Amino acid sequence: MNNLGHYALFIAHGLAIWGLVASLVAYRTRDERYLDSVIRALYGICALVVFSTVTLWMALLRDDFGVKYVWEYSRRSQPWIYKLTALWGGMSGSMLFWCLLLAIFSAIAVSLNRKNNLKLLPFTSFLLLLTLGFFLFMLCFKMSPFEPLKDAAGQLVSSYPASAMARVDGNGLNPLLQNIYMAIHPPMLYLGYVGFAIPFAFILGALAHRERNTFWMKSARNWAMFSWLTLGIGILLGGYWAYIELGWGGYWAWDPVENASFMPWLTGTAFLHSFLMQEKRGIYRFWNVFFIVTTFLLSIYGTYLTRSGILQSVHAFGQEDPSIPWYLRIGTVFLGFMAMMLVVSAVFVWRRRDLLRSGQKNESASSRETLFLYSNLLLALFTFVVVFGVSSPIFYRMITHKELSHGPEYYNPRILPISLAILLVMGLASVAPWRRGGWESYKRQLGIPFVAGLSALAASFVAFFSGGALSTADFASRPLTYVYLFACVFLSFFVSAIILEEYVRTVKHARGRGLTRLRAFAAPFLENPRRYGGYIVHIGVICLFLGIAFSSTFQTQYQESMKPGDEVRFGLFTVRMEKLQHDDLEGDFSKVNEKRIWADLTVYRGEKMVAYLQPMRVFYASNPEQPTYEVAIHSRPMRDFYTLLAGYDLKNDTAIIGAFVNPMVAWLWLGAFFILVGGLTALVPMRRV
Amino acid sequence: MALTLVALAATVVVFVWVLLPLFGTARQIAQSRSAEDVQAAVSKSVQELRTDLELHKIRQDDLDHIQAFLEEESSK
Repeated sequence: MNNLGHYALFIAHGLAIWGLVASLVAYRTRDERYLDSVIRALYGICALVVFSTVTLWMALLRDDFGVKYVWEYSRRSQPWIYKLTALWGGMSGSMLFWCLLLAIFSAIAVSLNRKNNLKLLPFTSFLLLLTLGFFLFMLCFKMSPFEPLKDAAGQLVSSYPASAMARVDGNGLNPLLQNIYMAIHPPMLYLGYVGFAIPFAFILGALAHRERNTFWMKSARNWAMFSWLTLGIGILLGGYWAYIELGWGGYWAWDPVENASFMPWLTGTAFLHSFLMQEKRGIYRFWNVFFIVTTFLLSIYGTYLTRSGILQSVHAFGQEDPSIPWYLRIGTVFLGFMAMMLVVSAVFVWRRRDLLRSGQKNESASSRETLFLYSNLLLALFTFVVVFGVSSPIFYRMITHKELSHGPEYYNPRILPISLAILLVMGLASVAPWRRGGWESYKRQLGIPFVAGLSALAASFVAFFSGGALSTADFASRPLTYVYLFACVFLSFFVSAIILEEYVRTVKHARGRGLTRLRAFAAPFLENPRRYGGYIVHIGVICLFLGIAFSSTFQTQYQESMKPGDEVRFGLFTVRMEKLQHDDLEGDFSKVNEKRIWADLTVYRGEKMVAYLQPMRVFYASNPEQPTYEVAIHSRPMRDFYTLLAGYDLKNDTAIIGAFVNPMVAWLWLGAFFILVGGLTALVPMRRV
Repeated sequence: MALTLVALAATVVVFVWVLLPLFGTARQIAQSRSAEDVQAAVSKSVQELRTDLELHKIRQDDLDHIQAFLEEESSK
């Protein structure tokens, strides 16, 4: 059965090669018969890759340790959910998953556009097949997930008799990945990475076929929106996983692999905004091609960074054998593919440069079009800072053979002013008039938001200084940090008030058209789902800004050695340790997947008990020497009380309890919720008025 | 052996199915769009701008200019 999974990939690779040839013939001759054949090839690839993936899943669920991948990333006692998620736990499995999503997305995209955008499909299909062909090539010739396992004597494990086979067990999935959020986070990221291949292919396809109509844009935009949304939610889920699993009290560390997913999200954000301008005004065509090509290439680059082993990170997996010549390494093949896609894109941009001239100009420095341009320049600058931060250590090591890494000290001073400028432009662009609009629109709409921002600023000054959260000495020790914090407070309320004011005005107009109150409240979302979905996303982004600003500025950290019955004060909270407990740690791991040590803590604020927490350490069978953290959090909107079992001495019944008081971290997850709701709203089809 | 035969048979079936359209009658991929499609695309693009007209974020003559430009582009 496993062999069939492997054969299916070979057949799919053959279909991809045929599809490439046929799509070029269809592009040159416009013969629909070849296009029909290409579409069938895409459907066939989809079916074969689905079959291959199901085969690997079956092998994982059946503990078929005759397959090397199953032996490396699963074990008998592993819960079934983590047997399924082991599909993306290793390099070849995750490549298969990439290929699966791309094959499904390609088949859906071609099917949905067969009626309305048939003329774009030859070259669009060519690009999709080129990408599919690359991943199928990797799976067939560089890293098959169906490679059979051999023992030290070179005998196939699958040829063992049943009694010997029953004694074989696998290594198991990396313990850090045995977390429910890690089960969701990678697929969400992959949906985003892979999804961006569709708008990339459509935009270059439209360019190749000289399409000027805006009709095709709906499809490309919806795919881009879906990909942006899933990638964004995937990044935030990753942050939540880091928060609860790594035990360091934070959620984002500018880790290179975190950045790898963040880079295409940034350029994807810029693309969605400038694409809106192409739809509405026919401008920024070159920017759109630039951003979507960059987003696609950064998605591949992110996958390369994670898989090639070139980066050291808690997230990175996959180390290449140094005995393999450099030109045969997986990293080199990835770079070659990226270079090829860059050349294909550059050739078509050059050959179609006449189509990229818009024929329309920005007629005012204060117009909405110009503000969208500013926001895209800022996002491009932001991306450049991150790309440089991720890539420069790699080049530095290649040249000097010395290590270099960039952390918050590199990113924060550069990113913070850019982020605040983006927040300002985000607000101003909402009130900016189209085309030749002057300053009247600003004057009319910025009064109330400005007062709201100032009021919030004054209130925060009073609360911080009179409440004791901030002293003048604190301020003097980190003045720039607090200036950024207060700027963030002002801009957050300023922009929120702009959005709220615009919503109220739109509802009033809807009421003026004779709609009932309920219908008028819903009208902005039904008649302009993209814009008002976008505003909900902006509210989510504001929540993220506030959560990040407060939690990173005011985080406090504690650590104490405690015995049962001890009470220790951690800031506002008093913690009483009730017991230190553990599972049977002496027994073997053949029947269980994990063993735990945990502390029972009662948390009081003043005299009132507010929480009962159980921070623990978990020993997984796959790596019992390195127990993972399972933190326990008492979460409230304004602060999290975050505890972990930093150390333990079972003989002396002593635990080292670590604690963090993290202000407003819950706002990050609230922001994620708004982004999800807003993104889904923006995907709702627009209702004709 | 049986698996190899199954794989070979599957390969033949899949490729025959994929190549089958080539034996049909030759026809060109339609390159033009219907006038209704063009109008629908433009009117959806302009719908948001009409809301902005109510909110005084665009002038009527600017809206007319943008609509005319999009119609001209789409008809090329």
